[in-house]
Amino acid sequence: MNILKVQDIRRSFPQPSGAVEILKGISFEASKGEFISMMGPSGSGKSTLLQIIGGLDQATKGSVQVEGQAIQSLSDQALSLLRRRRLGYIFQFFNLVPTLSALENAALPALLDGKSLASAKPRAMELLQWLGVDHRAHNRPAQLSGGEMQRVAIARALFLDPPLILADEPTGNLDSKTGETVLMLLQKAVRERGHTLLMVTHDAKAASYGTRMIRLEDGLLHSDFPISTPHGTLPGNLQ
Amino acid sequence: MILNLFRFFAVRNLMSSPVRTLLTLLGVALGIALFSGVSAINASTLSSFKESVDAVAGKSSLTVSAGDAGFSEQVEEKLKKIPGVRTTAPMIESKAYYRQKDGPEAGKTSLITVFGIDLLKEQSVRTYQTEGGEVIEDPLEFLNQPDSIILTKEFAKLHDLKVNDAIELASAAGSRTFVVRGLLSPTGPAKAYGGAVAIMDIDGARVNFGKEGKVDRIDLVLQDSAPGQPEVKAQVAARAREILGEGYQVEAPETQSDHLQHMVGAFQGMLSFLSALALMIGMVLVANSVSVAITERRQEIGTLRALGATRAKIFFLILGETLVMGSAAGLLGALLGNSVAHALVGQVSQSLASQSGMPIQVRELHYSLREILHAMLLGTSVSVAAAFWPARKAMNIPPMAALKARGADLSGIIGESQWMKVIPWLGAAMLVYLFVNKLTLNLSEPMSPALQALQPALGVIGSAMVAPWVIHYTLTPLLHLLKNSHGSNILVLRMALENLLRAPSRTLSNVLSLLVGLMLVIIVSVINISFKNSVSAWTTKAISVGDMALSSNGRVVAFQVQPLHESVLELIKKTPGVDLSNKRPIVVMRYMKVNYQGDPLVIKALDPTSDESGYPYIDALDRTALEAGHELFSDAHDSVLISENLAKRYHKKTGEVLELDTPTGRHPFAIAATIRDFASPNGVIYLNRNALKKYWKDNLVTIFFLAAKPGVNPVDLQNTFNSTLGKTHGIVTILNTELVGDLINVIDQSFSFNKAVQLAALLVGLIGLLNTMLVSIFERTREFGMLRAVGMDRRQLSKMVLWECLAQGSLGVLAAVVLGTYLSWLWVTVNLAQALGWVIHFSFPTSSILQVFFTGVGVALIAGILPVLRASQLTIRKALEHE
Amino acid sequence: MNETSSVKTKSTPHFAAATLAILAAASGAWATELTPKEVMSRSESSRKVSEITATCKLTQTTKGKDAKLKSFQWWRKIADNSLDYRTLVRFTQPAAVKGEGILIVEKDKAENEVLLYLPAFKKIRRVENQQQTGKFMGSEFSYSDIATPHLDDYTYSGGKQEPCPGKTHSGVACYLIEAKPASPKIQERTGYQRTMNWVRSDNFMVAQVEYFDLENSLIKRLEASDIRKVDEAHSKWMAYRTEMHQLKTGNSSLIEFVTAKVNGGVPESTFTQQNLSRSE
Repeated sequence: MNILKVQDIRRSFPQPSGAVEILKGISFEASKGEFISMMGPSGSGKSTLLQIIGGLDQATKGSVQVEGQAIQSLSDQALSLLRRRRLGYIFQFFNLVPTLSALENAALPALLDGKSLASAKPRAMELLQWLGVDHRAHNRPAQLSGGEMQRVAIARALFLDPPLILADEPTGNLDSKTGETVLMLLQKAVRERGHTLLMVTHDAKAASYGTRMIRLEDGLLHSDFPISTPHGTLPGNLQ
Repeated sequence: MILNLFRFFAVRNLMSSPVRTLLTLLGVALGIALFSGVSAINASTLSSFKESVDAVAGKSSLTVSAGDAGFSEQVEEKLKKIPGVRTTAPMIESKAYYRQKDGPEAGKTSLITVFGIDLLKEQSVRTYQTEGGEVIEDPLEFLNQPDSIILTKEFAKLHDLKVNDAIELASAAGSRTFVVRGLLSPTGPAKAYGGAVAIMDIDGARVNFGKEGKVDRIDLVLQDSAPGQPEVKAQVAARAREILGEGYQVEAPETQSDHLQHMVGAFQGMLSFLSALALMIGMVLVANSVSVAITERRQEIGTLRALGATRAKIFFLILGETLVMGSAAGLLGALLGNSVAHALVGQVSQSLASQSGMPIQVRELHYSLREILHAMLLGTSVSVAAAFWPARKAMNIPPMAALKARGADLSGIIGESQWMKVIPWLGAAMLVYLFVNKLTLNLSEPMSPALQALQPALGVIGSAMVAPWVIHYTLTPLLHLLKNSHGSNILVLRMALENLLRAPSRTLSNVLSLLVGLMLVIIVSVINISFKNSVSAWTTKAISVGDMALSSNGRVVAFQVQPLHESVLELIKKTPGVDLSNKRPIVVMRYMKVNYQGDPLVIKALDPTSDESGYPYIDALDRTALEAGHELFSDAHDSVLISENLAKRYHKKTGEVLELDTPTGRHPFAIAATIRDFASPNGVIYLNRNALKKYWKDNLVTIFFLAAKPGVNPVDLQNTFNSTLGKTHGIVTILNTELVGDLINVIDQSFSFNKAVQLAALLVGLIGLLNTMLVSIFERTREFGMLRAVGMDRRQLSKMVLWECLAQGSLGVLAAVVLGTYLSWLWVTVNLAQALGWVIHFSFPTSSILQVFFTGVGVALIAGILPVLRASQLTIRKALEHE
Repeated sequence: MNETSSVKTKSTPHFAAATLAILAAASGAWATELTPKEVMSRSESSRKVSEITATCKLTQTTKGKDAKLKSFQWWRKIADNSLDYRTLVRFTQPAAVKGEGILIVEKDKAENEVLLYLPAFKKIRRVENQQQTGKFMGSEFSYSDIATPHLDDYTYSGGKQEPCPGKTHSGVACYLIEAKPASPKIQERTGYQRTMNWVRSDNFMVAQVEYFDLENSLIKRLEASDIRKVDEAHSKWMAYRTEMHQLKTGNSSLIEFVTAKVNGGVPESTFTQQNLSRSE
């Protein structure tokens, strides 16, 4: 079964001069273990498409299925649960909760699910360790570097083992070296843990870490092809 | 989940902005402190009075009385014969004033209630005790000496008195010396009125207080009297009323407490009203603060939504934070409330005593755990209620907000633009409703408690909702005016004003705190000034009778004195320098309370004078003073003049008949005119003193107004009286100018609580403004960075921020003045009239408005210091990096 | 109320007791032993003077303070029923109490009437019944102490003889009689649960009385002394000094007769309210 099925997604935005169609009918599917990089020029609709897939926005027309479940008709409550348990998010600006520690941020999906911190701690620590930031578990975001924050964000995204991870410009706010490290971690997550990752980026180099490229132009799917040799190997301590 | 939200979000979010949390907490706590302090004072006052009434009542189940004038002692024989009556105990009850002669409080006057009792039969009704030995060592000596008096230990200690000491009290024949022959322990009647009680033998009291042949009350102890025997009580009461007829009250002790509640309920209502307003401001502060916090955390909330938090959970998260803060505010407010209550109880109870003429002294302030819990509950519920709407807004923040940088969406309380259009209309509708309510309300009917509580809420919320219009319709024309002006300073000013217009919600948030605070300051000022002006204008006229007033020692301006025997008039007439002409005759007045339809009213009984005088003390509304006075003193029939508020309250008018119950039966009086007189919230009746003597058998006088002969200096005449009647009879002579001054002091005292409310309101306004300004400047760090990056220098940036602060302060003042004036006009002419029973005319407080203007602008400048400093010290790089 | 029964029984035993007493005295020897009631009956008889006019002093001694002295005139006359007395007291000194009068009218079937005249106000005031256990005008005597006790108001026991207490009675034997109120009403009126009475065996005058309150605590002691025969013909005696000690407080009141005239003719009009309200 495909993890993700996107069918004829259209999205228009009303403007004073008339509706503007940002997405004009996008269709594609993603299987388990794929690392899809989505690229396109500014205004191509890639971020909008990611938001629709992630249930943050509603398509004007078309459908999205996550693990066979159509998400358009879901209630707000059901969508919230979907986002919590079946999707993982990684944002450009990290979006960590400033009053929570790295450990608590990582365990946030469990906390939102009503679990106690004590029960979530082992899993959170495991992930932080796997991502190489366990030594910062009790620090707050203000005390972390950009790279560290993004790693905590990745841990949060992976916590409930969602089948699909959505990353919106995950390296957009990082320097190139840190960015590379993050990309390699994302690769690792896909390879070792079997997640499906859909990453929006404007950076070709970042895109090359994926296993498949989807290009959007003017709201349409321009191209969709596998990347034969994904970029990057992990540094020794993160193998 | 809820626990997690609480633990990981609610408490931590509050702690992450400690200054804002503290400021909001303080603001709410202040409102709660005032409200719970006032509640405690009100409750304690009534329970103190009830305790006193019960202490005096002793074992008696019923009390017979007939107003201030008293009634014949023969009535006792009739009551004794009623089946079911076991014992009767007559009593004289007089208010006397003790003047401290020596010590640090020398010259200070204290009210003391003197009970004249039949010591030979008191044991069956009341218990008196002293430590060791008998209360009266030698009854034979005590009973045969009219100057014998027993004080309470409490009073004696307070005034450094002991057994065999002499004290001077005012009597009907002037000042008299009494000898302390015993001290009472605080049990029974000695507990009453905070211990400001003295006991005399009844015959001594009769002689001293002008009540020969009379009693003020007779207490009835019933057969086998036990609690909960309504049948016997009801039968005896019915029979007593039948025998005695109209003019007498037969009441159980609890009914007397109800009378006081009735008399002071209005004043207490006004205090509660004002403190409720202060609480409302606290609510607005919370709403504002929470909204600003939500704005700040918009991205965070969006993130939580994106990560799977449901809308309901976001809603409860916000409420949960407010619950924590509200509980803390409630606790702080509760503790502060205790201090407020203790600080104000003296002044408030003195004001209540002035209002009611009753010796109200709060012995024990009830501020216990119960009051603290109530205050905490109030703090929590008020805060949660205030946060309801912002929480609703928060739950509607879309998950997409997670993707937007901070500060990009600056929705404040109002939120999206559609709401900005609708809400001012709603606010206007509320304010218009209040106006319509004024037009249609029947002032003589008591307002329902629900409506009384609703009015301040509607006023404050309505004003807050209408504020956007004030902002928009002030800034837009101003900007238009500046459109064609040039220069870098003008540019900076224009930018400042445009910034305010462009972010209406943020501007509103800043303006709102100051608006509600200053509005309350204006409302309180208007109430104070309107009341003072109305009363002063009347008083000046009322006491511009001659040059001076003579009375016995006490609170002359409130007529709370021991009345003198009318024979003192002859002594006054014999004093050289007194004008005895018909044009400026001596005005003789007896002031006393009577019951009318169960309510206490005031009678001012005056000796007839000739028409030549013109009756300057009569402020007639529907006839001339001459016509009114002529009718009043006509021998043809018994007439009265009634006050405006009495006419309204009891639906009476000139030409109708007013029936008054007297100890000699019910008598009709023709209403000759309606007058203005503020002496009583329920009403005042002017009566010919001859009628008083005839029907009430009262020959006492409260006050003499007189003039100095032409060519005689009033001050010299005053000195003459001081050295003659002042020495022999302890009579005090007060010049009219001094009386007016005393009256202003009494009014000031009555409104002293209001000053506390004003201060609280101002503080809350300042706190709110500081709160929101700090946040909004923080939000705009990036924006300031950009402005600096494109070439604005530090000075220009500082000026712009300063202009913004000034403009917001001025907007707050303007809105407060406009809306505050409107609301206070409504409240003076509706709520105050209802509360105090008087018709108060609205006075515009010009000087107060100026004060408010400077205060408001000053407050805005103070609140702006930090933001201006911060803005001017920004480094561009850091500012641009700011998220 | 048991007044009717007490009225019926009063006259017969009094007369019998009096006769016995006279016979016994005349014989000079105790021919028969007396019952406690008989002793008390003889005691009542010994002091039962029809009329008396006297001047007296009342000295009130309060512990820790100076003694206070009052002087008064005293008129007392028995009513037609030979049971109830009328008493008028008129204070003459000090100035603070001069002219005050107290009129006590004992009533057999009803509560005693006590009226007080206050010259400062020219008014007569009634002393309520509930006050009658209270102190008589600030002295340690209560109103009921001052009033005449009726024989049948009490039940009597004891009667053994012992030396009379006090120096003034040395060498004389006293009957020790316990008296208890015959009814709850009497007990309420007097305020005593019982009294112990030392009655002299020679003249049947009371030498000492001890009073026990309703909790049976000893609270007061009355000591009579300076006992003189005031009516030779009828063998009537009077104690010229009667002192009441309040044992709890240590206070005491002493009534002394300065002059006394017995059966000198006291008009009925003495005991009227009109006379009471005359200052002199």
